[in-house]
Amino acid sequence: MSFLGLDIAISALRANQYALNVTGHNIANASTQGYHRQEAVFLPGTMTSGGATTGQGVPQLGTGVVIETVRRLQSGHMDSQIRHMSQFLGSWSARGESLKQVESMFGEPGGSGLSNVLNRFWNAWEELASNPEDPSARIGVVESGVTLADRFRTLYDGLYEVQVQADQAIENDVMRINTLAHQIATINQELIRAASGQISPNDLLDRRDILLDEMSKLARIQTFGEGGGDFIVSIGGKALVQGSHVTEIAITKGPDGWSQLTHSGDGSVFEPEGGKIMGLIQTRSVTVKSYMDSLNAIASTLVDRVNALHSTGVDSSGNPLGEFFVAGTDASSIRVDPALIALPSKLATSATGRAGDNQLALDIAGIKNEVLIDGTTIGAAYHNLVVHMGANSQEAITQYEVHQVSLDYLKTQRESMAGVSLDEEMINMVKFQQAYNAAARIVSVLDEMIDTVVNRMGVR
Amino acid sequence: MRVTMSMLSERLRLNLMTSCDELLKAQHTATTGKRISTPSDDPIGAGKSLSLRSVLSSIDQYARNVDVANSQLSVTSAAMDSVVASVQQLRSLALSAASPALTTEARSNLAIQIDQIAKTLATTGNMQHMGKYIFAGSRSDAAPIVENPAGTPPYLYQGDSSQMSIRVGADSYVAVNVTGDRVFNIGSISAPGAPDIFTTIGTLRDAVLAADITTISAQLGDIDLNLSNMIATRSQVGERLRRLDQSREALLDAKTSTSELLSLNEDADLAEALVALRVRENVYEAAIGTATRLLSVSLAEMLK
Repeated sequence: MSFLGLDIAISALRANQYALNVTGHNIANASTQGYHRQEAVFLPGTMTSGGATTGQGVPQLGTGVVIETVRRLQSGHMDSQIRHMSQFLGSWSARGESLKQVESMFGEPGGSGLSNVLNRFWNAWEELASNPEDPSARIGVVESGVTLADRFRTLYDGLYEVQVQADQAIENDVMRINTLAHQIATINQELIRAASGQISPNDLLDRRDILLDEMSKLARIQTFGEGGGDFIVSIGGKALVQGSHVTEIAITKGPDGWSQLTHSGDGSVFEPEGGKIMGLIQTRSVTVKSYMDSLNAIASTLVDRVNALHSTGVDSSGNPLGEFFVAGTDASSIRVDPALIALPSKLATSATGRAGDNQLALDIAGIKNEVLIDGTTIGAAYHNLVVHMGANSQEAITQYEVHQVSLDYLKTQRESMAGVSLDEEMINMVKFQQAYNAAARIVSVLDEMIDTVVNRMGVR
Repeated sequence: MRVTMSMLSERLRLNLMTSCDELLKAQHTATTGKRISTPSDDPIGAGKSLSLRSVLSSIDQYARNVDVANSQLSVTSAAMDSVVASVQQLRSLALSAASPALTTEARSNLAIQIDQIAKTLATTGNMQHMGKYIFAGSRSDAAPIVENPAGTPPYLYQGDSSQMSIRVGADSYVAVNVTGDRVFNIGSISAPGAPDIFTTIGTLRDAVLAADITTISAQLGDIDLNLSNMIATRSQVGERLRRLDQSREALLDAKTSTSELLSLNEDADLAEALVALRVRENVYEAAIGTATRLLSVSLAEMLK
């Protein structure tokens, strides 16, 4: 009689208790973001002859059970797909949010939009052409000109503000990437230590995955390797994290006044290739910039044309009256001559200076139908800008929705593989509990057998 | 497929958010009555709306311009009526003055009446509308017909020959004035062969007082030349007024059709919007109902 049986039973008690703890850990983390479910992997104990012999020779007897490892349900392939998708989502969401803001600034189609203000400006000139002697018609023109100039500047300033906000967000996000990189490097350091100490690093891997998920929303990243020391995160084609070493993204002010991003390792320009940062850079330096350029072109054309006509005007004594818009050549600076605001009688209606001559007012009102910019009228050029902006915004919204659906699908897939199912854990709990109970039963049976041998047999 | 609790709750959250978002959009459409509230709702449609609104805004302005032109030309037309009537009266006075049987008293009476007609014509020529002299061309801030201090010719024209036009369509103009030089034949040759009407009147009056029948008869020809010039000018004004009526009609038609296009382009079909809203509400309610049922069951509660 050996005590091998007791050892087996104890191994079973230990293993099932351990497994129950793993189940407990899973249940505890059922709602934890990025948690991968863990599983105690049982392995039969090594064989032994057990001291018995049979006709066929020495039989092999198991030595119970050991927990080989606590396995973390991997979703590596899914993780990289999710990160790939997150980068698109981050990029489109950043663009979509900025463009929503831009849309509300334009205020089209609506009464407050530039289009309406521009119409009122032309109508005021028409009104003056119909009543060139009427002082209130002059005031109407000057006031509508002031409103128009204000609207141009407000819109331009609003767009500039969107650029500034995007630039600040870029800085914040780059700093966040650097922080995340350092956290990942720290985890890699711990993973290196864990590997030498045979500690199961599952929860460290979970934490690193969460950090990588967050980083992938900000910029396109690629990861190589699995462990600590050999783990590489590359961003914009350059290594950001190599094991426990971080090469930060540096922020400097570029010649255009916006933040410029470089890899601090070799000083090369950082191209995010995707993610929120790319979306923000696109917004700041391409999309919104193009709106501002268009707006400037429209405003300049308006200023040039109105001034060219207005400066041919003379007052009743034949003195030239100068320009309508002064000192401003584009949307950021367009402004009605303060002299006109103070004295609307300085407004030119004719080249003869005679009270009833309306030809110049008629001509200026006619600018609205003149083909002056991009093969169309000033008003239509602005309408095209609105269409262009609306289409960009619509694209961002649609792309965001499409990628959101794909990302949701992928996340569901990952959750299906690696998420905690409470039902499953409940069943495991019952399973381990009953196995534990059965092992305990073996202990008491063996105890009875030993009792028989030791106490009953010795009495005779 | 392996389904976990957080898959259920996450999917539920997403579906709730989606249907809530759609509910919001449906509510917005139903309450504003607009299909397009931002350019991203329909970029091309939004651009079309802006163009149509610009067109509408111009049409409204042209309609106001037509009203201004109409009012000024109506006043001009009435003034021309009065001018023509005065000159016709002048003509009949000249005819009666051509009779050699008149007494001296009757002649001086006629001369007074003839003088009066000159004054009436001058007053009409200096007629103002909305503070402007309508017969003065572009020098509309000063009376155009002034007495000549030198005496000959009796009146001078101080306006100019400018035609003032108003836009009544994208590329359509109406002249809203006739100038005094043309009406009264002063300083222009609108009635060739005849001197200006005031000179004719002066000559006529002198001839009437002097009982110079030959000169009186000679003036009749000049009066007729002036009269036909005035009648022609009057019918020109009438023609412009008719054109304005046509423009007004055309603008009204354009306004109706453009408004219709605009409404088709950006207004929501209200019945459709309300049905959509109802559907979204139902979907949202169903989603909430599912949420309360799904998340309340669990194996953990069944195990003992």
